[in-house]
Amino acid sequence: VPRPLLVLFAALGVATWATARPLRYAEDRAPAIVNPLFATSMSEARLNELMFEGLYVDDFDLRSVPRLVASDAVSADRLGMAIQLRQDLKWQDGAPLTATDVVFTIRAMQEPQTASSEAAQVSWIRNAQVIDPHTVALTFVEPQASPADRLQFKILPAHLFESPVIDRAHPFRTQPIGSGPFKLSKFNADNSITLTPNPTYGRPNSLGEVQLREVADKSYQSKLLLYGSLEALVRVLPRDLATLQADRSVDLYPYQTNSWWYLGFHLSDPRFADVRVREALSLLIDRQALLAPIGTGDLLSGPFVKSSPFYDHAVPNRAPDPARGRALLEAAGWRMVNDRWEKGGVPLEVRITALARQETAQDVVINLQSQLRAHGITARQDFLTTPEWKQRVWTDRDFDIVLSQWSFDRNEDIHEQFHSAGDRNFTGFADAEVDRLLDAARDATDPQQKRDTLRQVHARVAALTPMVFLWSLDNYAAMSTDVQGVTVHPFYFFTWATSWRLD
Amino acid sequence: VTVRVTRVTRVTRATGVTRVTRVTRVALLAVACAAPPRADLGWISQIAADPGALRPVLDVERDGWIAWHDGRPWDARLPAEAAARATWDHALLLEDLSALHHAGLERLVAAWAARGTLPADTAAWGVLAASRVCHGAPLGDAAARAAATPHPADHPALAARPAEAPTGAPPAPAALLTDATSHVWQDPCAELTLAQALGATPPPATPDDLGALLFAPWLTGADWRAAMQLGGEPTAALASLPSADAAGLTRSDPATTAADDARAAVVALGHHLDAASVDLSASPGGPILADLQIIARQRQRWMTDRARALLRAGNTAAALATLEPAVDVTHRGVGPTNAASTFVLLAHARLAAGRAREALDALQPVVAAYPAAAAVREVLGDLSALEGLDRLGDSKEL
Repeated sequence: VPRPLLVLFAALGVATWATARPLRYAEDRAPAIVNPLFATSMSEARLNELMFEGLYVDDFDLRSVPRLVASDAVSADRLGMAIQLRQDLKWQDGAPLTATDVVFTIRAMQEPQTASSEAAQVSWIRNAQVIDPHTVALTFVEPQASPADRLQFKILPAHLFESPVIDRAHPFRTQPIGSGPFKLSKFNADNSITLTPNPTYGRPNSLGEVQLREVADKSYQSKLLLYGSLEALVRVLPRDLATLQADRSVDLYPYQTNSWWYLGFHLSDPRFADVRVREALSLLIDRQALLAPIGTGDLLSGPFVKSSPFYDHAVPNRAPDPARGRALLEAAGWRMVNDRWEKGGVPLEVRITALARQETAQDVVINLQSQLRAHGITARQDFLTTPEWKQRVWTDRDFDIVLSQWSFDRNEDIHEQFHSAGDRNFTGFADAEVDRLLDAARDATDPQQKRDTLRQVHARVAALTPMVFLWSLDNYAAMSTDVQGVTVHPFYFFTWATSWRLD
Repeated sequence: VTVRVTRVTRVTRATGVTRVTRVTRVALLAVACAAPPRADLGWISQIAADPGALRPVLDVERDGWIAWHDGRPWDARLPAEAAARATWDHALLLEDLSALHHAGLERLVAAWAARGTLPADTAAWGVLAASRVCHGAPLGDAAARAAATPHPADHPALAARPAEAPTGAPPAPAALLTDATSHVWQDPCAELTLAQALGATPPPATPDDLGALLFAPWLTGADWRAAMQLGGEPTAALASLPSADAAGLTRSDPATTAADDARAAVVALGHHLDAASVDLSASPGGPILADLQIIARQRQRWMTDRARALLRAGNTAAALATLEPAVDVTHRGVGPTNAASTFVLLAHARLAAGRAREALDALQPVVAAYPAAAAVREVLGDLSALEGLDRLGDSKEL
């Protein structure tokens, strides 16, 4: 082909994505930082999926297949693995992606001073070593049946960091460089984020620009989709489903992230160290009444959704029982004085901490305040911005009761939430038997053993009540019918977005 | 005409390709301007024209009709011919569950064996062999591998059991056995045995009266009789339904239909029924049809039947493309616009697509309404747990 034509074709190719319609999707809150080492929210995970890559990735059948890897070889004792990287890999700034980046990422995640929220993802790796620019050698703490299944965490560019000790405030958070199909183009004044196709991405990508728009009001999100001002909503409130399903310009996609809501007690607080107080509060709360204003869902008795193989259906759901709740508070030394509970002259007052700018959480907190007040407990609202939440809840553990929700991928591994050493256990829950069971479940090589063990965890955690388990909601994503070829990853959502088309 | 030409001219700027577009658009506009055909929806149209005819039918076994309308054929006590249809529908649900159970067990044993951790003295192979016998599948290597356990022919799952037709929803079954390795196995033939006890043959040729046709997936007795003469396969009933055929739902071969075709058929059916709904809304029975969600219920039942045919033909992608939009997401669980079979078939399609965990999500509403489905849930749960053994789960807030 004559060189001028090649140049023309290249220019046309660029023009295709430059002029294509953007895919605009809504999140309740835009990510505060963009760094996979510190991703704690689903909106961050979804954005990372567009920008970064792991060594392996799920294919459409949810099997781990190579992404950055050309070939691999696991040792006979399954205690080690050699990984050969593809030789054509580049970062979005043009630098080559090499074995150094892989080893750096693992060390950064393991580095205690980095305090990565993803540290558990690499705790099974004993050592990572650069053999040559395209070869990495890994050794494992224990034999691994399928190490590729554990090597999906995102790889970072070593050349942009000074050492594996990485501070959350490192400039990378606003100037991220990945190897994925999209690169961050700009943070906009309205909190939206614009992504453009990564020219160094070596695989097909049918989408052009992608825009993340921050829209806190869920109902408004639905209206924007119906008016054609958005192409995708990652999560629709149940109350908006009827309108969206009835509209022929919208398709709904199941997006079951195995999510559940909870009220978590700060267990180091002497008031909540007493299980009787925790159980009492769980009995004073009418969960169905809290759920009704935000939609429909399943009330839960423990830390799994009802469709989970680990949900113990023999554990009864607690119904409101104010009489028993009052009896438990009295047994714990609290007395009702002038219609208010107090102990040693100190009234029972609690802060309910939740994220600001999240309409559904605000509804729940306001109704919860009202319910508790009716039972003689004063509750104060404590709404935090995302940075405040990360600092006060995750780091300082400065709260009485948090209202939040956890989302799990299909493995529903609650180890980090309920193990005493878990990096997501910010309620401070510690129970030796639960630790033992969670370790056993993680080490299990037998599915029925794992299932039975986690059902025991369900029963024990439900009895100890470190949280009031609230509900799971039916989760659907909604997209304009203009978006074709859509397959949604059940957790990361955008894993296969490069095969979507926007007509 | 002037308006049409102006619009088309604005859309098309003279190229060879756009001339075709121009002709097409003119043709479409001409169709759009033609008077819409009056809907002929058999018993639905009958109610629309004469809602009073409904009362004498519903006054006999009212609770049975409510259960039947509500998607609970197992609770529907109905007069003779209607009862046969409810029994048939119940048997179809059990067959759907049975097929899902078998498919889940096949995948579970295969994946467990491939992992190399299935104990030598496991009962898994014997249970799988029994399942293959029940479902008419080739025994393959299961019988040989089951040597350490009772021979498949002697397996408790195949032992003669009272062929008593279930009344109401069967309870959650006790596990079939706990083997030497303490693994618990479900009876893979349980659902099929119940289906056979119900006598899963199509109900007798349907007369044209409302009492025999109400809430049926076919619209007229003539349709049903014609379909039976064509082949007798239950879903073949759709083939002669004028409305479904007019919407393009029944024309393509399930084995060759692509997912895009399936989606197009769903959209076409939606438009077709929307038009019928508008047409019928002004009729005397319009309010009753709306209250009973008849059009939405009918759409859902047709799509479910269509998806069953697609799934049986091994066309997973098209089945998924039909089933996902068949679920009425605004009403949780089994109900008038969500047949239990829809969820079971959706679970099966997801399983076939490699999504065992998502299959459990689909199945959960059925277990809530029909406890016997709990056995299938356990099998799929084991498979889901097995697939996650080597993974470290991820979790995030919100």
